[in-house]
Amino acid sequence: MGEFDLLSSLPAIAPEIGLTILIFVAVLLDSFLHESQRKGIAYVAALGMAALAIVPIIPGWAPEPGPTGDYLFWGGMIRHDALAQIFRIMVLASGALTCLMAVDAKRVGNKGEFYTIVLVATLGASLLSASADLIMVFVALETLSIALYCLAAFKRNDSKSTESGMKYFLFGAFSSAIMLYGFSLLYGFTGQTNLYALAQFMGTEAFANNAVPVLAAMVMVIVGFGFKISAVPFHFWTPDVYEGAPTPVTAFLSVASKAASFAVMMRFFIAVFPNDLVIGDYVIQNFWVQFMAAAAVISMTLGNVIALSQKNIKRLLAYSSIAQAGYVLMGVAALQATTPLGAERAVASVGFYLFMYTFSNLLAFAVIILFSEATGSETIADLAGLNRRSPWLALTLTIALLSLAGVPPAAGFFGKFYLFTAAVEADLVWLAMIGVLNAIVGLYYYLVVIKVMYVDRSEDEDKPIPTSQTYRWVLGVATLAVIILGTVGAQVIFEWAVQGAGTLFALLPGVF
Amino acid sequence: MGIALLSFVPALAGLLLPRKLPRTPQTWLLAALAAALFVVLLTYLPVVSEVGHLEFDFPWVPELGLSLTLYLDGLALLFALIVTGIGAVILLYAGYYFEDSAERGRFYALLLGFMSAMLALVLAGNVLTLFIAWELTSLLSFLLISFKNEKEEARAGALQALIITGGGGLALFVGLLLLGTAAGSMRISDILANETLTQHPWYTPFTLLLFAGCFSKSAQFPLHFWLPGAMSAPTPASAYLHSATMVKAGIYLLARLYPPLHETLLWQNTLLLVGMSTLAVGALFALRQRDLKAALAYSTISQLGALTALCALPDYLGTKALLVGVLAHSLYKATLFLMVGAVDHQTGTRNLDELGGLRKTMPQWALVTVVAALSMAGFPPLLGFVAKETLLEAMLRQPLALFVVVFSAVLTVAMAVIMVWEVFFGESRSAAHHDEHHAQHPVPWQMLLGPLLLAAASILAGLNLEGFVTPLIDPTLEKEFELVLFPGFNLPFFISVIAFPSGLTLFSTRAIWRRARVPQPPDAAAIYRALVGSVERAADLVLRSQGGKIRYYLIVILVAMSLLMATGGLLRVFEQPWPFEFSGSTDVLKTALLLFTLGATLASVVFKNHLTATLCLGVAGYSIGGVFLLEPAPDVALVQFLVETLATVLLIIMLVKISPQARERAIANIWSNTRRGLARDIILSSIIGGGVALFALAAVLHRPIPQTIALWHLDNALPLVGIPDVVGAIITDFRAMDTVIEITVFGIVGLGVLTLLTVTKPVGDWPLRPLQALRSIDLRTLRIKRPTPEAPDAPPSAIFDTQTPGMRFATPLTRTIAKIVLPVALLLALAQLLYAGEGPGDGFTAGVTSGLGVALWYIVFGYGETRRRLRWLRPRRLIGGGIALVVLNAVVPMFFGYPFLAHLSFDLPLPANLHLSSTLVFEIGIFLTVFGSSSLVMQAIAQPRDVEEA
Repeated sequence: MGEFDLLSSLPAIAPEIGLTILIFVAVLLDSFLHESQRKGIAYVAALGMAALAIVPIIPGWAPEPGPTGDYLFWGGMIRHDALAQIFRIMVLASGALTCLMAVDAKRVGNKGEFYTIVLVATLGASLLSASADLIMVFVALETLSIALYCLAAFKRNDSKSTESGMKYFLFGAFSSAIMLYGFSLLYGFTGQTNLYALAQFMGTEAFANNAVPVLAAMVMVIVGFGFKISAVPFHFWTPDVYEGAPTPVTAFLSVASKAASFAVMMRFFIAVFPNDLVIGDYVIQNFWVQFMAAAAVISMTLGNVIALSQKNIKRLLAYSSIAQAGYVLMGVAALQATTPLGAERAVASVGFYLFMYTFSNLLAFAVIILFSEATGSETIADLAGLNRRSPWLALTLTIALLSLAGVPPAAGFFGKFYLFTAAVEADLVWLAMIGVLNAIVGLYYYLVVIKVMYVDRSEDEDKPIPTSQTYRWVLGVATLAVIILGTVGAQVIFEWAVQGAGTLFALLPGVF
Repeated sequence: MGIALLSFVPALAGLLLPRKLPRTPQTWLLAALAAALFVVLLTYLPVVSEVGHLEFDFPWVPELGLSLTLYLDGLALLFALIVTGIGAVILLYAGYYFEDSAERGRFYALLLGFMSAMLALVLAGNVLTLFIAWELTSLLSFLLISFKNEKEEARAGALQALIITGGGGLALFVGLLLLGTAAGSMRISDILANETLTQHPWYTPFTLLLFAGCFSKSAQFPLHFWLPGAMSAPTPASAYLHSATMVKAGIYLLARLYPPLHETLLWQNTLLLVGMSTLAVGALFALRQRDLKAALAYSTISQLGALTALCALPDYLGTKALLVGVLAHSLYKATLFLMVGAVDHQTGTRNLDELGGLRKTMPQWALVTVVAALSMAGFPPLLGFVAKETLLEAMLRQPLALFVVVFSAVLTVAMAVIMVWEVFFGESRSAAHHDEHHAQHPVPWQMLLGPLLLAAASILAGLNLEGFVTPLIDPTLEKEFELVLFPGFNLPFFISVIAFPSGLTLFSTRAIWRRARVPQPPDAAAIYRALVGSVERAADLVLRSQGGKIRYYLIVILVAMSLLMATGGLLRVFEQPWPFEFSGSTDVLKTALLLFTLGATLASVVFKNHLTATLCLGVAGYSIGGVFLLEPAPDVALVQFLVETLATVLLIIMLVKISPQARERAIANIWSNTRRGLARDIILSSIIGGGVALFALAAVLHRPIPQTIALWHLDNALPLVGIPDVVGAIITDFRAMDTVIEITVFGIVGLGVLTLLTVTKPVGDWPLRPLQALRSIDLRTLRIKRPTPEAPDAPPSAIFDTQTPGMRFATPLTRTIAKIVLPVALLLALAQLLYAGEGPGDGFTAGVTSGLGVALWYIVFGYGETRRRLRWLRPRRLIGGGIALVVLNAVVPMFFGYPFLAHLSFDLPLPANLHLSSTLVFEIGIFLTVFGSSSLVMQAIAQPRDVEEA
């Protein structure tokens, strides 16, 4: 461990520092503003987070190796690398959009503490994207989760909302406990908590013939992450919570929490169980890659198939998000690629997919919030004639759904393109095939929604959905992002993600 | 270079087109635009035929091989010319087809967008841009099909079309991805130059995926059924998309990839089989349709089948026929579709049963139709004849295929005749179109222009093959070829000659075979519906797993975890040698104790009485303590005993607080489970329990670093800390910081329990409620200096606290015992504290021991009396004091230059072997915290719900 240098360590947690300040500002504003003015907190929080999201893009702020020669800061707690930056941007952007989306939501928008808790959750997710130590991973994960439990149950007079909060909490506590057990075993085996040090220790002679307990510990960690990313069979909470939670919360839950969890999961597995780690006669990577591939298949299939019969649009998106997690897991499984470039591409494909998924899903949820606030309905059939009620809104939702389905020119196409390419390059052709079959099933239910909007008739066709100025901004920004990511921006972001993936693999041994 | 942006022109025009432009300028402007594009493309013809192919590059995602590449060769040019040429005709026609200007504007926007996408598709020099354009055409097709969306069938048809073509598109996507990866490049020129693709291990998968995409797009059997369903689109769209251009995209791609991929049996046999079935099925079904558009759709399917079959032939045998066929079909089928549109426009119907005799009112249309129909039937000297001749010539070496071709040629002739005869000749068979109806919907003359042009093209091209057709297909064909109208009296010619009378005979006997009931061949639409239905049913089935009950969810997680661990090699534990052996009597005793534990645990499950079950659990815990004792680990054993006792006591108090009725109900609920439920529970718990047990075993067997830390502690406890008791040394020195945190947590837990259990009524707004409660508690205790405020004057009945159910243990004997036990417990605690360093027991056990003494009071005396009589007991102060003491003990030495948490020993001559050191202070702090916290928990639990915090 090198000498501690505060000044060079501060940029590593710049977003977190900023978020902490924002949290205090939000609390203070909440205390001093009149109830009718508390919507203003949303703008403060959103602008603040948007500003923080821009910080990593400023040239010259690119992460540089810290005093210890690698990207580890704060005693190895934080790894400040380009990949972490990308995921932080996703998290911050979704936090900002969530705040704006909540402004007009009834019983949510005028509550200052809502924004405060969103900020806390964002803080946890942001920290999670960069954490490089078992302790930090857990602390960040809980910061995120506990805030989300509160958010899910935010409409406390609404029995669905409280139920979803309670379910989420019970599930979360349960899987956190299992994951913590896994962490403590890893610590117990090695005496190390830093992710990068763990792998080094397990690679040593002293550890030979201890594969079985290590695998068991790994399984426990997988359970914990599987819960966060809602991979089957740890997905059960997802539909119930998505449906019950206030919709802005669902939106946040579906993107920020998932993105950060994927980030830390990849970091964890690449660092702790790298591809050259062999304990006894076990090639450790095989085990988790196979699990990821299997989970990808089950998640995609189950999510897509169940989504077919959903009548509620939020539940549909919940199952679709399970399926989407399955697609992303394909990219994680592609980490078995034998070349470093292949593995980097795999990571980058996951990064890009989540990046575009963040905006696509938020866009879909934004339209749904508007619709359900105006009509009080979340049923797919009630979307009928949306094209005539509010053509722009229908178009926006169409773009979002097409992106989720992976149809060009929306961003989702490139997302799937990179993922499938990564899978094919990693010799997982069969996985890519299953992915395609699933994408076809997925296409079906997304198209059904589009069909309902454009083709079906309704009696309310002359009643447009009122859209506030704030909302137009949210929709505009997100739509623009989806289109740009699907056209000119795809290359830029993917390049960046490949770069970030490069730093992820840049392990400098012998530091500890 | 201009050609690179060519495909964007129509879309741009569609975007920039003023919405309110009057009909005539709008229509003619757009038609002229398309015609201009046609001419521009035509100028490339000489260059292409000279160079072979042109390529233009605009980098987009270059390192992934994704760039806006244009690949222009003869094939692409031919298709592009069809797209723009027919496009111009359709745009002109559509301007007068739609009467509503808003509708026309929308249609134009969509159609121009489609034209762009289609141009991009055929001009794409990169398979990914090709795919993007491909999906765009599917989407725009969907929007055009659902253009008239009042009818339910239109909606269903649109969705069906989109799902088939879109789904096929996704299959194509992976096919192209694999193809590109196998070829090492996404560029079409590189793929075409690659000669080893047929040997690639992925050849079969990507070829089949490509087929799936092409077959779905080009409506090949058995995926053909979406095309008739798509006929609800406005007729100009049907003419353009669903006959001339989009449905040929699949053919285009097959022809495009023919050179590098065709030399395998897989390619040839599949395409031939599919193409031939499509040809026959389409021709057969076309005859059975009464809706003109449906008939045309099936006849299109039939032609597409022929084109697919031509792609199957080896050695470029089919190429000539393919190119001529594409051209001829586009010309005559578009004409026929436009005719149907005009007829529909004029009469309001397109049902053959209601039409007839239109030659009187639409003579020009009759003429155009005759030409187109003759071309379709393959009558010389029209281009259709050349197409049929070349087709027959290409198929000569495939006897079976030749038979199918002849068969469908006969059917096609019959179809063509029906088309002309039943629409324009004979007598009007319906009352649907009276004369006044005609007057309302006269067909504008401008609509006729386009079909007239196309029909003329059919004739001219046939008559002057050298001038019109040869240059178009010449660039594509590498070999010298001959294209003549009349090649002489060869077999194809004779077949043609036979086909006509046979077709006419078929037509004249139509009254007979129409009545015959032909068994319906397997209808893929039904299969599609069944598939969609079964998937949806499967979804409902799987959905049952989402029952909403958390316990099932958790069970799934646990089972999944156990299974994962099993696959993770947990079962391999049994392959290891087991280092267990019996040595001496203690091992026998240990085994007995473990068995006892097992029995007690089982008993706790079986006993229905909660108290007994709880006691059984306690016994199990005690047995474990006994094992520790035999280890020998008296410290751990003592902690185990005490904690077990405390836990049991707590559990019992909690149970007692629940009303007996509620408990009965809960028990009944658990045991009312069916046998199956019981079996399920047993299996599940065995799996999970077994998993955990195996895991523990694995962890023991594979302990990575055997014993290093333990030995170090044993060796260093006395020399470094000066305490013979290793456990004490660990707690107060080696892991002292952990201890500080742990007791803090312990204190917080006590306060937490108090907060959770005592505050039941909402106070103010909820986020503040716990906070307010805590604050009020703390402020009161801190602020008030006088002794704890009087407990509420308990009524006499409070002694036998009847408000709290179950608090009826207050017999004289128990009261006496309780009174004695508390001082004894405190004394014991003192002893444990003072000799913490030497023997078993330390601050923690001392705290728990004293806490148990207090617990007995709460049980015996009830809440009110205990609080009154044990006024000196202030748990919260104990907690605070304890933590403060520990922190002080850690910090104060720092002022004297010692490190944080330093171990200090004072060698004072004290009696009774006592030893004063910082360790003792530490232990006292632990004791105070633990005692306080456990008393607080007791107090919180014992407190009746309606008594407010004193």
